[in-house]
Amino acid sequence: MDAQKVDMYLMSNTKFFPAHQMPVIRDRMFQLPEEKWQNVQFLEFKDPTTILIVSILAGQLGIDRFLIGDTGMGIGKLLTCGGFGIWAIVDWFMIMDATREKNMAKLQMVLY
Amino acid sequence: MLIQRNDFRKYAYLAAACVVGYAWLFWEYQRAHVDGAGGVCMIKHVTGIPCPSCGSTRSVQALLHGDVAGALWLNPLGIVLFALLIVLPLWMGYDKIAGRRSLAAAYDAMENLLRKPLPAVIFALLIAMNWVWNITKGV
Repeated sequence: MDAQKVDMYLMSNTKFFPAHQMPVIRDRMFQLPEEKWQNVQFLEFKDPTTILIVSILAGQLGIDRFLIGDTGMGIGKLLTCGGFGIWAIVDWFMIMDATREKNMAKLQMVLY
Repeated sequence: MLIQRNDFRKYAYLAAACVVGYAWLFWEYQRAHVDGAGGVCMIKHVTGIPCPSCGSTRSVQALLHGDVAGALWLNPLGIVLFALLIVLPLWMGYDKIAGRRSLAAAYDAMENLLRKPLPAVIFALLIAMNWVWNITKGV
């Protein structure tokens, strides 16, 4: 892909991905064939800020984990009153990074 | 490589959940004679309304005393948790000894199943029903 398109895409989607992965994503996107670029553009990602709001409001029920696709952990949180209340609070600080990692995994499915 | 790392996370998560679960049961057993009013549920403390899984500790304790009906009445999820606490360590041990990833595969299958609309709706409905029941019986 040409550099301008990739940089435009990355600029408008920075918040979705882990910062330390950005150089890897960029390199990988340069090598991406043109016909695959469409698939990347139409991917939908979860907004970490939205998930954080959900986590604060309904993290006790594990809804945040369900939303980002961590169903197993969501059930774990749901069945234990939010991990005895502790995990729910820990997740207020972890969930944004967890969301970015999930987005990254989704992008990797297309990139590799 | 990537799959193996993810598998490790799953096993670590499930093992940690079991350890915390047993530790919690032991802690509650230790302080059972102090008073019965335990509970760490933030929803219950903040709003006064029990959450869907409130009462599952008491349910598991009832099961340990052989009181199945009491366990069902307190919270049916307690029976699920009780089964998980017994099955998961055995399953993890089997996987470790046999060098297989059957538990991780089952975990993946469960996640994929719950991503489909119909199973997800049924699951959510069951939890919601249990929640309504929890609130009406005032666990």
